[in-house]
Amino acid sequence: MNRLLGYWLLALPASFAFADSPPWEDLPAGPGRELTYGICSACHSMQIVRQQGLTRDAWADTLDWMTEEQGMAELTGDPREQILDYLSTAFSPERPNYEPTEAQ
Amino acid sequence: MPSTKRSLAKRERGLAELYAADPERADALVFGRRTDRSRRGFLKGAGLATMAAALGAPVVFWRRLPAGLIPAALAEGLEGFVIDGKDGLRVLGDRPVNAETPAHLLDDDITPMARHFIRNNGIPPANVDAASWRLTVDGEVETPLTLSIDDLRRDFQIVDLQLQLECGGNGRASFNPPARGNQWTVGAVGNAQWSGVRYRDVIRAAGLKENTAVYTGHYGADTHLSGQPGKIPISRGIPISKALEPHTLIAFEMNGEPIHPMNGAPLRVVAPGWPGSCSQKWLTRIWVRDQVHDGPKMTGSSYRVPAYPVAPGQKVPDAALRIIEAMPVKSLITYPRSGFELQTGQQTLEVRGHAWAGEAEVETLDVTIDFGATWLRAELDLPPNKYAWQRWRARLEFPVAGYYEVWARATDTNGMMQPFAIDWNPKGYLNNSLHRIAVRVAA
Repeated sequence: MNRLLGYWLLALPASFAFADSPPWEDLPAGPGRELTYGICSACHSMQIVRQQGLTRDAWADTLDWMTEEQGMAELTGDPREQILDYLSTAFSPERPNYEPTEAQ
Repeated sequence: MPSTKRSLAKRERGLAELYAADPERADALVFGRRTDRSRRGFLKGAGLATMAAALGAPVVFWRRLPAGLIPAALAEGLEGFVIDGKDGLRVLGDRPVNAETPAHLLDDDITPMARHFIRNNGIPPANVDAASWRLTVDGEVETPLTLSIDDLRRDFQIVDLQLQLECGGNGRASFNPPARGNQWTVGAVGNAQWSGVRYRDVIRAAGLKENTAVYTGHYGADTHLSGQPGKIPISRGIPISKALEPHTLIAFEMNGEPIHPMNGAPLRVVAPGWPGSCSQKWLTRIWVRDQVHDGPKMTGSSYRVPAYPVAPGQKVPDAALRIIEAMPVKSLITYPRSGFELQTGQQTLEVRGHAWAGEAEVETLDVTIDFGATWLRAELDLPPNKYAWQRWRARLEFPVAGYYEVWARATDTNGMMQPFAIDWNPKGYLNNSLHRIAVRVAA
């Protein structure tokens, strides 16, 4: 039953289907994107992340603040490095991906 | 890359539009989901596995998921995101909700409810029923009180005041290097008419211990983004001197109506002229403290600026930061909208806007059309009451066709003037640099 629904989803027009394009694909491509999406979007939408343009140090401070003050589980080792690599590349002070949203 | 972005935007719009048109049909179309008469859960599990696959994780409380609710994890696109009772706002984020108002939609003297910005730190309470709401006042008082909103209305004088509220981070988007936080441009400010009781009357009714009371601590009914029970998203406060200022209110109406749910219904603090975070929304408790309040976002680097001037990008230790009190002098051009074009043969234009100045009053407002070489004094109204923003207007003459910028610059009664450049600070607060709009005069 579910498998059938899954196939049907793939056949939907592109504007409705997303089973073949998960939500993290809205973020700029790069190693660590999926992990970053998973950790950050557990609490808040990625829109606040997309607005930032921070150095690796500032991103590291941000993750520490998330753990110390905002209830995020402690991130260490390789996952932390992956997330820091991703954030400091996609959302660096040069703001390669910053697009202010338009008023509705 | 641009084409990818366009198609993603289209896809996001598609999902949001589908849910906006008919949420339950969208459930069925997208996930194959159906619900029973409770309108929660998944009838016979239909659609559950599909949704879990799309979300990348099982839906733990799937039996409670309401019908027609677009899963938040998939609702990342903002194109279809609508906030009931708000109109024309620029949405910075939907979880938490943060939205500002474009300058040209702030032209009203009294900001309509639909155009008042939203700054949330957590998840607003689901139940904002005024009849059952309770406010507790405790700490450095002789007699702790628990009051209903009816008690407030019955036992205290009700006052109506136009009060300007501005987010401490308004203008952060212009910081370079960028500062962390919501990238507000100019529109995290509003001037509604607030009705409520004086804050000081309430804490004095509880027997304020004026010798030991130092600061207040505010608590609201919003919950933390992490979902951790009991974790507080934000609890800030004000010095007792500000709490005793007669324009500081505990408000229950906004423009003569119940407060908008996103603006703190049914009860909030309005501590005008100070960062908006001093004006706790969904207010449930005032804890009078014998020390500076130390709740979440009172400490560390939150709502603080360096005690001394710093270079852009400079690291500043927390110990060198000071709590922001009054907001600085500032103004907006609310007419015309930036990009306005004067038609051929027309060379005069009335421009107008508002100006405000934290604890002070605005004394003069000057405008320039030649990048600051010469300035013209605008007509400036007195505020209807202290802490209301002030209307200004000026009639401009453009000598020849071409491209112009109109800049506005307010000066307050303390002689403080809006700067051209930004006084950079690590968290991107207090940007009161002058507002600029573009005007073209057609040949």
